[in-house]
Amino acid sequence: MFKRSLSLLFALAGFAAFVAAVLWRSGQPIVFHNATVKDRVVVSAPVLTALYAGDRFLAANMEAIRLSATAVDQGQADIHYLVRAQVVVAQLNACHEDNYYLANGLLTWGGAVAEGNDVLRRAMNCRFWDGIPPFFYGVNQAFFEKDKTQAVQALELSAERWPENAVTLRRMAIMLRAEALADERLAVNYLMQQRDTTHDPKLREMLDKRVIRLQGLIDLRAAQRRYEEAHGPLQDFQQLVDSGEMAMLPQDPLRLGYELRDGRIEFRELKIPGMENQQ
Amino acid sequence: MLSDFRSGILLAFRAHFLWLAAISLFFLLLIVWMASEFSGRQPATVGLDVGLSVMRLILPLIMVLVVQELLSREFDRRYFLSSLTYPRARQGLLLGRFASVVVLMACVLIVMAVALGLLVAWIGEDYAQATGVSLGWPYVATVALIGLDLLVLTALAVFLAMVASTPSFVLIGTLGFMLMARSFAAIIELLTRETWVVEGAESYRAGVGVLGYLLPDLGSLDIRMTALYGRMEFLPSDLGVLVLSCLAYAFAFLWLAVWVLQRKRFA
Repeated sequence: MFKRSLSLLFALAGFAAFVAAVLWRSGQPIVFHNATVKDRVVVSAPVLTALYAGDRFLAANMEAIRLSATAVDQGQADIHYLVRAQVVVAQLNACHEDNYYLANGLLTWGGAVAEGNDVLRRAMNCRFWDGIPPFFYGVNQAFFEKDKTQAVQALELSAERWPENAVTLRRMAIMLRAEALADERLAVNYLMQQRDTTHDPKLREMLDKRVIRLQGLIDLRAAQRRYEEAHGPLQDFQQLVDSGEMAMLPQDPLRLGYELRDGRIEFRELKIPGMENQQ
Repeated sequence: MLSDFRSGILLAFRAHFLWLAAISLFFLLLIVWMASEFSGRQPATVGLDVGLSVMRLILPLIMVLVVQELLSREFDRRYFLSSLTYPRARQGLLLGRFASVVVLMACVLIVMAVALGLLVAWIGEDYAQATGVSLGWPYVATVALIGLDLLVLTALAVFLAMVASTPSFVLIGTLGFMLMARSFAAIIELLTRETWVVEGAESYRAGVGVLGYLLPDLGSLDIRMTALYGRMEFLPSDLGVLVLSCLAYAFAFLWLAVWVLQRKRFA
């Protein structure tokens, strides 16, 4: 009897010492060492495969669900996270339809052109029957990269895979070759079509911001044309307002803005630290 | 052997096998439905994709629990005092129980596959996808190869139940084997394409490559892309040899288990 109560006493003494130590520690101020990690974590593709029991499809689906559910907050996309996460999903399952669709809508039109096109290129190779990724890719090549040959190639490929729209796509390729196509008109049409066919209200709002951004560019270019006919080359956006061509400069809802590059108004692209030297 | 088969089925039912299967089926369908809700452009494809993944995770788990019940418990509870009495051959017990595990798991696999197919077809009604899923022969072939994957794991679990002294080693050993056999080929492929992931990828890859001679390539048995996108071009060209190698591996482990049982000393 004595021995049994003694062992219980020892156990209680142990717990009491533990509680006392925890109480003492809780009184100490918390010091953060090297709290430099600010961005979200994206695990690389081989490690993810092992974590999901060797199932890269499950890993791709879960990552795609994670990024589509969490990367868009209050209408602003977390581009720095998306750039890395969407490329990882494309490595795991390049055929993932939601991934290339989101990458085109959010990355390419959100300022990260090269990364969005990388995801699209993988989708083009994997989905060998699908005409939509080469169509997106062709439009992006024509509009952002100004690479007519690649754009025409991609549109021809799209026409081959997409018999219902082959006539329109071929005509587009021919017009592009003849440089008769106003690329911003083409872009705004396809972006609006993309916005109107989505049924996710959040994504719709995001794409709507990109349409407004593009509309701002179209207005700026129109004002530039009118200004240059009257006054000569444009040096600064403020001249457009001063000369009365525009009441006020358009605001970019993505807060990236526009810039004058070699006498032509373009989107200002997102600067990603560590990414510039790769391009 | 027939009586061992029948007693195996009865033992599994006594261990609430039907409840286990029904609860697993319920969670499978719930997860599939929720996953498909997250997809904007291809709900049916994501549903089928996640459903196949969940089946590939949940079926080995049920299988291990049944093997523990039918074989490990036999030694734990000293049932062998009556089931291994003299005029009967020891291998009869093992082969009969193995057959009952295989039949039970095949039934669960078929029920799950049919339920998943119906649910995915129902999800696909709502939204016309650009590229629909294919629930015909590609789906049947995918499910059949999941069954083959399960057969290899069953043979291994039976072998582990013979050599291990505790039932939990069967669980840990089988699931660990499953993890390695499914992931090594995919990891080698990803490392080959993205060499910047680890330092010294060459030597690392050679090290992982040795595993190819020790483990069957269960990752390549996953041919779900044919069903997800309805294109037969995704079938690997060496599928016949792959199926043969997996069958041979399962056969070898089954007879290794028989060999171990015949030499087993009972305390």
